[in-house]
Amino acid sequence: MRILSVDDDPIILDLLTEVLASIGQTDVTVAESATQAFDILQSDCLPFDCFLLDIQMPEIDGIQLCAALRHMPLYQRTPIIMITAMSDKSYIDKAFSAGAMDYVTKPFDVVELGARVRIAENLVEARNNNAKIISAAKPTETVYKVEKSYTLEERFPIDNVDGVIDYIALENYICQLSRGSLFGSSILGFHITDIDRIFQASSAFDYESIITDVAESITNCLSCSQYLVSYAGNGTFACVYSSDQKLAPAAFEKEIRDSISSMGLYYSDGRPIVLTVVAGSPIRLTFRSGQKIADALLEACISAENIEYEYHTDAVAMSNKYIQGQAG
Amino acid sequence: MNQAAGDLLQDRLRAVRIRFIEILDERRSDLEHLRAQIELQADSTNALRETQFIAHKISGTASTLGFPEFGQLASDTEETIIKHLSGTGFIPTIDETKQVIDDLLASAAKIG
Repeated sequence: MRILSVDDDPIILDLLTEVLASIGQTDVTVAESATQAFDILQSDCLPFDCFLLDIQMPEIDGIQLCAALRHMPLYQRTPIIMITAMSDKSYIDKAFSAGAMDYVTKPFDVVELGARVRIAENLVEARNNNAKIISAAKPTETVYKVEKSYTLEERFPIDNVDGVIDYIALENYICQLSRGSLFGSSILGFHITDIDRIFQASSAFDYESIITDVAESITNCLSCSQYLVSYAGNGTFACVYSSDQKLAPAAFEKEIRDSISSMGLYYSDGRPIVLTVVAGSPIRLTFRSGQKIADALLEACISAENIEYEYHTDAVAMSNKYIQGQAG
Repeated sequence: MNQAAGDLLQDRLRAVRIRFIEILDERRSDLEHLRAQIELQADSTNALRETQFIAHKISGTASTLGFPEFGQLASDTEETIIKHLSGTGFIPTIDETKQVIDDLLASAAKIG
């Protein structure tokens, strides 16, 4: 894996190079500033597979560099691991909002650093394998516009919506936060009801647009607080937010509904899109650790999906009651 | 990490440790210069910020390279200066702030 490490401290760069070499990562390029990193990106013919960026650097900091990389088509999905000695959670939040996938804290635990880099490597390998399959399936002499295809459960990435990050990044974010920082955070799940029907009725483009529009509505309604949102597949979103912000799920659902209806959504063939978003129960991250924190993300998603099931069960019960009344 | 991999890593880190000590010599002299400015200048804000920056760098690597106490002192120095300059919450006095810088300098002298 080709790695570019950027840090203004030469000792950190030496340390990273040695630790990475000890886990078999020997193709490492270093830069002492964001400006030097840009020069390397312009002059190097081969693209990088992973970036390690220090957050606190003079002039252009690591968060700005991360955001700039995400604007380059070649690096929209490349794993970016932030390196930080910052205890302030807001810096970490900003780094994830800018597109970071993971972070490690200074001083390093070398075993932990190795583990984070391996996760990134696995992701790169999985993507490279997918790319090989697609490339093998395409005739070489003809350029086809290949339409994307999704499964209902697929956690595909959502681009260009502020505060929306990949699911794996959200998992890394909450699993790595210190217990002190977790104390003030909660997770809330959102689910698009009747998503199976919407999925069946949509082209891949329509489906991606619907999910992106709903993500935008959720973030619009959250705009005044610290938050990160991720698409969890199956029409479900997970949102990690500061518990200072009191979110009443019912009122929030209405806000999102109003926001979606103001967008006036249509399928590509002109049919109007009718959809409703329900919210689950907020889950506080207090007193959780390790795997239980990662589980909390799933719990929040399941909680939102269960709301739809409850609606459905209520509707069936009402309908049965009505039919029995008619028969009687 | 198995024993052989651990030993290999320690070998690799030895060279970085030597470079850390070499650079620490320069950083120590910068810290001494800044400490004198803090003592002499009426407004020591800039000197404190530069000291905080150096402490931040030391705290980021010292522990990994086998100097955990020195790394902790650097981290304490950084935090004390941040609190002193922020002027909110518990604010260490300038004398308390100078003391942690002096402790850091004394510890750096032992390593160098």
